[in-house]
Amino acid sequence: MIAGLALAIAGCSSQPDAPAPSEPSSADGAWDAELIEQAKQEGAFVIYGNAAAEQGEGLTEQFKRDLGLEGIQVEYNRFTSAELLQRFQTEAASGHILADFILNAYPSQFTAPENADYFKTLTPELLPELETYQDIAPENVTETGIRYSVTPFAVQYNTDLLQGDDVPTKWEDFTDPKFKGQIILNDPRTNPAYNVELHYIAEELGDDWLRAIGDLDYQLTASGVTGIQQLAAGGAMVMFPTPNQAQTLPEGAPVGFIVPEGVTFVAESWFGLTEDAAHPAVAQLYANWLLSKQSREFACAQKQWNMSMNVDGIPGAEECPVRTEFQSITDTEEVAKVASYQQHIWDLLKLQ
Amino acid sequence: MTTMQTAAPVRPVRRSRRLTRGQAVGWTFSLLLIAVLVYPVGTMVWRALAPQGTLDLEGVAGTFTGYGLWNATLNTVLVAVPAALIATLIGATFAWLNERTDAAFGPLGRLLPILSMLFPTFALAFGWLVVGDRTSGFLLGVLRLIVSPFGIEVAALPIGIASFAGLIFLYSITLAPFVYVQCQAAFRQLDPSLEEMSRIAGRGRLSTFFTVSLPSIRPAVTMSLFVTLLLGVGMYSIPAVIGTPGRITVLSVYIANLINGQYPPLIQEATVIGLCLMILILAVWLMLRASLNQGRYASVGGRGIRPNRIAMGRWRGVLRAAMWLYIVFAVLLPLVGLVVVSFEKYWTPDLVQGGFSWENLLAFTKVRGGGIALIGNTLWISVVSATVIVIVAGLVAIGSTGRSPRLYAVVASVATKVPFAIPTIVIAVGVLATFGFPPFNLSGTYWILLIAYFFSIPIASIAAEAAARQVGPELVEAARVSGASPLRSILRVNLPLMLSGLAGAWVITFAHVMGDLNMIPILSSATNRVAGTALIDILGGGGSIIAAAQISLIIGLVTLAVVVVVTAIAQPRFTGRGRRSRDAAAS
Repeated sequence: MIAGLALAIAGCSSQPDAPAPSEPSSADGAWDAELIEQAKQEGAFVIYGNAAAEQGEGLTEQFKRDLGLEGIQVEYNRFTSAELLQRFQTEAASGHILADFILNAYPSQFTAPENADYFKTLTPELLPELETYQDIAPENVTETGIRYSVTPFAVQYNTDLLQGDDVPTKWEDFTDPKFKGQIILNDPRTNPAYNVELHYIAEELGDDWLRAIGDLDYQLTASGVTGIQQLAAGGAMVMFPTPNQAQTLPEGAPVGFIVPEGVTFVAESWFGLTEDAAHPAVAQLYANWLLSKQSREFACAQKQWNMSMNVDGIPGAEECPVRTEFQSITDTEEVAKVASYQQHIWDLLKLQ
Repeated sequence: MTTMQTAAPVRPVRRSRRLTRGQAVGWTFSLLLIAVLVYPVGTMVWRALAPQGTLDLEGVAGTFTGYGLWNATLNTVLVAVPAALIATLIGATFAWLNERTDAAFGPLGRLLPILSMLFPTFALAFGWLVVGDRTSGFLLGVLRLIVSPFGIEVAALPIGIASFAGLIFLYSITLAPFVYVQCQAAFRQLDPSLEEMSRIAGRGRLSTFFTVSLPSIRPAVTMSLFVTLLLGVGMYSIPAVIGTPGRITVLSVYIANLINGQYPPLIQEATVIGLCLMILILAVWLMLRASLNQGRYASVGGRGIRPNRIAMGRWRGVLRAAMWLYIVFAVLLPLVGLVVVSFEKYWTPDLVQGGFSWENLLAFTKVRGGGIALIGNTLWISVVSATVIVIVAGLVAIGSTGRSPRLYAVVASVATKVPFAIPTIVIAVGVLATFGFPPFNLSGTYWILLIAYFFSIPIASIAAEAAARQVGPELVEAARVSGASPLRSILRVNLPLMLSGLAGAWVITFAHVMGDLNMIPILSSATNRVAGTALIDILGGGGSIIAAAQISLIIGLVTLAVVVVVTAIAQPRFTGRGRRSRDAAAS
């Protein structure tokens, strides 16, 4: 039954911009009818994810349309990575994990020895699409978690204040004196991703880059959501490090997004299926759908989601920006390593 | 030695007397309260302090070498202490003006000074950022409009809201209503004869205020100062939105950064800091309590007198203008900022060329779950939470104050202070771990939010104690001498006379729960969404901040409507139920 779930990669016609169902297809002809029937009987699906609610729910809505599962009640619960870990650990300690499907930034959520037992082993039998994915991007697959997408953390800029050649293209450009007082820095103490980005840039350009930024009388923001408003209001020329937040502003707001040449950090999205899920059939179908071409085409067409598959040549991801010089963190040891540098970074930036 | 001497007389009493029914009920109530409040927090604190089962002293010690901890502590003191003093002065003065002088606003106008308490602090903070940012605030836009015809270009304001002065200013105007509510209730209950005698004896208005009026309501003023200090130390939205751009990190933001700024989150460090704060707070509270037990202040007597309002003469207009000015700065300016942003395509200080749009006007209806439905959920949860909390806090306060406080009530009173300084995420996780799964299985239900909000009891507890202290013992004793049972005394004498103070505690708690954004991330899911869930979604990058501003505005207006009703119900003792309870005691 599960083996019959394989999905077609080729010949799928999708309508990326319209929320219409994509053609259901599989290498063997169609989605597994028995599994779909089981999913309908389960009737619900619980996701814990760190992606913005708009994005998380956008994907599940399209999944329901594509597989004819409109009757399923999806609970997408959005957390920050830290909150998600707390919630998960509390549930795990109580022996009652309520989520069927978990989407988080760090693979250790799924692969850490103390957590591994809580997740299903991912095999082509469970997820037929995995075989194709594994062939093209083996580094994206572990025993219990799959790297689904990446989100570059780069630079947002005010398009009224910076135009044409004035728009920086390299990280070195931001040390220009014209940026004095014109940079909004996302406070690196509020999100580990910001630290990692600054760490990687400093590794490439040296401490002097951080020191120069620290001398530029930058503005700090604790929240990218209010920071982007300040940027649109003309409070500064640029804001970094940040994912593209243009979707939080109305159309026409003078805000653009650039990924400078050289190193750029990406936040990852990994997913796993919980072992004792209350709705295993829906979770299995959703995981397969996420790996399918039709899902990727849909996700990549949603430009405002700022997603990238980070895998060259994966079917359906042609519209997603793929860059080879992205750097990401793949386990908590690396996070800890960067954390050990963070005070040095903060000192150079004169955060106190 | 002291302990033994104290304990010795108690032992024979325990041996020789069985528990009365009242004591049995009291101890049961206290133990239940301790179980609900202390167990979830206690287990989480222990887990944080001893992640491997034994106390991790090295980890605990490491907390105190954290980057920027002492700087954040100093910043907290530099902001919270002056703000608490200013807020207490503003709040107590406005309460006196409104209750004792002819500068008072009308009945509804008396609510004006508490307006800022009714809106989520996030809304006020963002509103003030929109208005007072040095380089992009509306004040800059207005200044440019004024000076640009003269060929003068202004790039930035000389000082913005994101500064030490701005933070103290915002803390002060946000905290003042908490003082106002408590002091207003105390003035309403207070026999005005002392003030009148002071005036007859020739003292001036100001002198009467400082030497008679304020000392007369010392419990309310002292506890208000304490509460504002606590709230100032715990405040998060304002320092996060305003302090960070000004590069001013305070303890609450530091603790939040330990949890959200690191992966895995540094729960142990955050809990240790919270624990230290809690011990400090309990120590200060016990000292205040001892001081108030021995102190001299006026209380509700057996006679009811309608106060003659002090005529402020030519100062009346000036004082009223001062109150209006406060309301403009505390509420109107930031709210106007939010409203203007709601009509703009996006935030811009260029009021002329920015362009107005109706597009965003109904943005709040488009949030997940529907803005109106979510606000409805928040409303009923807040009403239930505030009511339960105030009933419990009121009973604990009655039992733990007065001439012979009950031991079980004092223990319960301590328990109600425990949650204050513990990081909210620790409380939320503790509540989830204790009540979320079998046998309770409340995860994803509104019940779990109600339980979590019960942990908002510390401020209500302190406010209720101030109200209880303001009720003199003679009325209760008169009721008991007349043969009333303890329960009847509480219901017919204590509670009605504390009504104004309890209403103040209710308003504070209600407003706090309405605007909460702290319990939501861990405890609210798709099946128990409230307005805060939508705000968290938006702040997490999932929607328009205009919608967040609108939801905050509506929450404020709904809160205001409810507070108007509650204030109308909670009549002062000179009329209605207050008079009846006094008569009941006298008969």
